[in-house]
Amino acid sequence: MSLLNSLKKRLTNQFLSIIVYEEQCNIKQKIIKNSKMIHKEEFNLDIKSQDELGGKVINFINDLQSQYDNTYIALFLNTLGQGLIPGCNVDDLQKFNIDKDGVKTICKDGRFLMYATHIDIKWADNLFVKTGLDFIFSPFLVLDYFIKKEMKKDSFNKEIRVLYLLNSKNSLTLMIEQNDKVLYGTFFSKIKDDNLLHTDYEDEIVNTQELDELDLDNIDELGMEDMLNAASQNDNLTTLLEDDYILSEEDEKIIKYINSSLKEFYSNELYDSDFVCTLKIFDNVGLKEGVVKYIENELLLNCTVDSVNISDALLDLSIKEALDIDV
Amino acid sequence: MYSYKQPREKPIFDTFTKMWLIFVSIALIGVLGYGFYLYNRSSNFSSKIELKNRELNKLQKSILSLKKSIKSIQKRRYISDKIDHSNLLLKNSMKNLFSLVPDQIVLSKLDMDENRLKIEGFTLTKNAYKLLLEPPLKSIFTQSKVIFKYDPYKGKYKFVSINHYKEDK
Repeated sequence: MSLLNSLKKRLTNQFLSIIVYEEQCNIKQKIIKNSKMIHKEEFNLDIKSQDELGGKVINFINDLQSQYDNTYIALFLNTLGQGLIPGCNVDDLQKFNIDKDGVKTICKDGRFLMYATHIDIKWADNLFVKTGLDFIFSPFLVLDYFIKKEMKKDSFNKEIRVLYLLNSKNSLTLMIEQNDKVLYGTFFSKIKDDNLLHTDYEDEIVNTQELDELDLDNIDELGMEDMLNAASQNDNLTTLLEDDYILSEEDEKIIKYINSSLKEFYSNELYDSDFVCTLKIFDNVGLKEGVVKYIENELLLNCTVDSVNISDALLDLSIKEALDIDV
Repeated sequence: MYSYKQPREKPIFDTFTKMWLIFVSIALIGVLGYGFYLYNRSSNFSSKIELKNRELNKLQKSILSLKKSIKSIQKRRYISDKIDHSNLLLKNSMKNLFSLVPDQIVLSKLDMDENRLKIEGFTLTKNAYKLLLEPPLKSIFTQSKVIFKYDPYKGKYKFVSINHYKEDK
């Protein structure tokens, strides 16, 4: 087996990272030969809907695949039916109202347990049925990848409790960590609930047909309802938003999600909560400075932003999974 | 493994190479099999050849013995033919001889071998012998001698005729 692996490392391997947005599909290609990168390219293709890649994208991916014998395709899972719980005990899922038979779980280093519903995994499989798919990576894994990189920096102090945020074009992933221990984690999709800021969240979410289609019988399973309720009750926020900073709807959403997450973290007894004063944003979109300033002033968080590339992280993760090497 | 999905099988050999390998291995197996078959057959042949050689030797030996027996049989046949012939000759000559003997002559003893005829008998007169028996004897044999002796008791001549026959070579 090890002989086979070392042989595989010597061959040319193509890695594709795919992130599916609503109207666009981001594909990044990385060619590895002999454990060295020989080519890297990024493509953005238009798609009609997030639920169907369309012939153009399928052909494009298959064309790329046909160029090399070994192609690994990694998908960034950005659907709502997923989450994270601290610790690695599968039975703990019950405490968070999650049906453990309905989800697939992955334990990361004994620090946290990522889960995704079988429905979401099936959805991803179906989406790539004509091209094939090798890896489905949780956004938590990607965020953890960036956190791990951060930890290697000399300036890193693991004593400090930090809220980490991975900002993607259509999703937000949050994790609170201290002393190499994950205390909290949640995932938001920026699209599924467009009117989150301006409507009654509870009604909106329960009635959303899209969610019904996903067969998320009980939104409580994801621990979302309480969070969103908490957010909606925060009347102060809306007034604050209108103050000094001109924020786009997108930015407002981010702030809203951070706020509701923190509220959830503080209020839910299941979490080992204490005050969080530091926010580290891994940004894949390009956050405006105003947002950072707003967070620092209004949410009273010490905020730093690192520009990152999720595609690169996906590629690194899939290379690590497939060949067990760091390129 | 931190992915929600297992990666697809990544065979080291692609389908074309696999097909090619399968084809080559089938061809190789075929060639080897045929070679083995041929080797078996040839070793079979050599053992058969050995067997046939032994048979040949046996047959050659039997041919030799047969030839020998043929020769002996031929000899015997020749001898028997000769005997037969001589018997026939004898019979004929006896017949002839007896037909030659006239009434005046009585034969008392006849001694005959291949080339010689000895006749003893009685004749009333020497002339009877000389006229009636001698000429045919002389015509048959190359040499014919006769001795007469008168037997007063019988009033006849006892004669002994010795005739030789010499074959012309």
